[in-house]
Amino acid sequence: MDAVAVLNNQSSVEAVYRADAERLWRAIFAYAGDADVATDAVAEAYAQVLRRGTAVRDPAAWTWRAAFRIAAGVLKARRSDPPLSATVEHVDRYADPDLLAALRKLPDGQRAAVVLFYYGDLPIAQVAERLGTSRLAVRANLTRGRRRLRELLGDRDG
Amino acid sequence: VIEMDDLRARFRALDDLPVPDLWPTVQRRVAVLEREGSPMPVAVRPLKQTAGARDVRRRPALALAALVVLVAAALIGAALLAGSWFDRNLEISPDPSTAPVSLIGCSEARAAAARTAEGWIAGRPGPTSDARPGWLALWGTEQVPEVVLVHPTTGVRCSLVRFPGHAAPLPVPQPESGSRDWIPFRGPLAWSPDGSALSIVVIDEDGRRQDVYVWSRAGLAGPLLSVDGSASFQPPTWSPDGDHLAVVRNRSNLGPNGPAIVAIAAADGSVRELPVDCANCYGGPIVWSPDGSRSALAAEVNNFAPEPDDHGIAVARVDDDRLGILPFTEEVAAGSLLVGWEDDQRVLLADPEAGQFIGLPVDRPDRPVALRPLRLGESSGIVALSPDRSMWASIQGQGASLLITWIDDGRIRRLARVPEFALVGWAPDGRSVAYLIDEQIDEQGLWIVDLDGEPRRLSDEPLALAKEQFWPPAMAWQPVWTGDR
Repeated sequence: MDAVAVLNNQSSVEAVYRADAERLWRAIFAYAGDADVATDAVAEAYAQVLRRGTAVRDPAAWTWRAAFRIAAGVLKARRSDPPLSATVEHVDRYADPDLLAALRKLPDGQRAAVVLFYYGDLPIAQVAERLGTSRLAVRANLTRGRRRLRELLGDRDG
Repeated sequence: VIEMDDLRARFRALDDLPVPDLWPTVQRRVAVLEREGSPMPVAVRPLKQTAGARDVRRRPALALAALVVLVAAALIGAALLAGSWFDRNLEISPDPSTAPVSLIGCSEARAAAARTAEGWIAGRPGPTSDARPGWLALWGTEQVPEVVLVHPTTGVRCSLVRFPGHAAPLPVPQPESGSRDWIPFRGPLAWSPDGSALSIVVIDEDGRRQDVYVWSRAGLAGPLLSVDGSASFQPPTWSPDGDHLAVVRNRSNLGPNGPAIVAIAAADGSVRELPVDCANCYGGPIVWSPDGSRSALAAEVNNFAPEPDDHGIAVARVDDDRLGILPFTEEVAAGSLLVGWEDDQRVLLADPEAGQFIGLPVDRPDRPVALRPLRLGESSGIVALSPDRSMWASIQGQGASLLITWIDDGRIRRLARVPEFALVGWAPDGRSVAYLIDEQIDEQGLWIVDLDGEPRRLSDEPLALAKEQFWPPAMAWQPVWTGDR
């Protein structure tokens, strides 16, 4: 890529970042339950998309998919005893702490599907695409995740 | 629906979370990546063919045992069909005065399921002009997985086969009557083109073990394929002549997948495997060409760390040893959906962004052809394409309506109010849509609606419809024909 193309690409990715990164960070935070994981995953995803240049056709979709997979990898590595960062209780106060606490009790697959569907506003097909799974599995995870959230949050919520 | 809207509202509270500005971190990370060299993940590359072809004919002992079982089963089956105690005591059978002519009745179907078979018997569909709906195949809701048949006209329910070896405790205590609070997750069901064989994926309650069976008048064959928790199956699809069943096997989600594997089972029960031509990919269900000579699947070809052109269509002749990837070009967006085959030479794609159906020649994938307009209208949640590809049924998210959209002019008709997750399938004649509501609400159960009619409830029993909402689906709805075929 020549210098002009690099600059153009950086500008376009930065525009995507400015428009979308906060929402992505919050989604990853809800999924991972850890602000540090969200920060690392989102930063890495945007760095990777910058490195790939103009060849990435849809940087917004690409970064969502990459960030969720990076976060999933971190969580998997921590599986034995997932430590929550010190920032969790702090940031929970700004959102819905009951919802975030309930989300942390869901299995990874259910939590990812629920966050992408209800917060990411993605249809089931795109949730499946971004998680690298089938639509049948997404639907099952959504159904089960929602039922579990209903139990955890009480009857007034779904 | 209201409850789900509440959940969405609670998620919106996340928007109040303060978020750090990561852009400087991103730029520092880019500089590190550039110093270290490209961290690009593995590229698409050919693979060695994996071993795994299973040919039962090479197992003489097994074949002999199977022959003995078959002979015994045939004798038992003949006795059953001759009017034995079993046949007389089936709890439900269709009323012949109201039921359409069916290729196979409940008692015959159930008797066949009791037999063990090596393979199956199936054929091509007959003339479609006389097609009338036969059986809907669904899963029951008990602890033991059970496939049931429901008649779309009479609502008669018939137990086909149970799988006690896959039973698992239900995680939620069930009420003694009324709506169940938990409907087990079961695998996809798919009728063969002539409706005389049914593929059944049995999934354990914990979702780990999956086995593929085929029921036909020959008996119950299988498990023909099995996976444990490290992999999963896509819904099986039938070749046009019913002689082959293709099942795509992917590694589990949220991590590197390795290559997707296409297993093709033949009617004699033998299985051979074809890898998709990529080192790390995820494949959708197989779509067969009209003459059955080729198969295609939509593949995400570099799943864990996707490359720019990370989607493609994997295509092969049935006698090839692998499925090669046709990467998308600039003219074909990566968001295109694999719909089927326009003819035996061109894969049919739908490109929602371009509003076009696209034909992708398998021998010149760099020269896609715009075929005809594609009008999505407002229906974003596509769930089912009609058998003649002229309409699709979709469920609109909030507000949750079952909509029919005519693809040629974008007309939309609202057929019913449904929950967001209702499962939908077309009748083989394209004149009705069935849908299943498995939410614990008053409308729970199986419904059917004609395109110009009102919804009617076939069953208020909670039934778990096990067909995935993929596009294009062919809901497990048996086509039958009147008269001689």
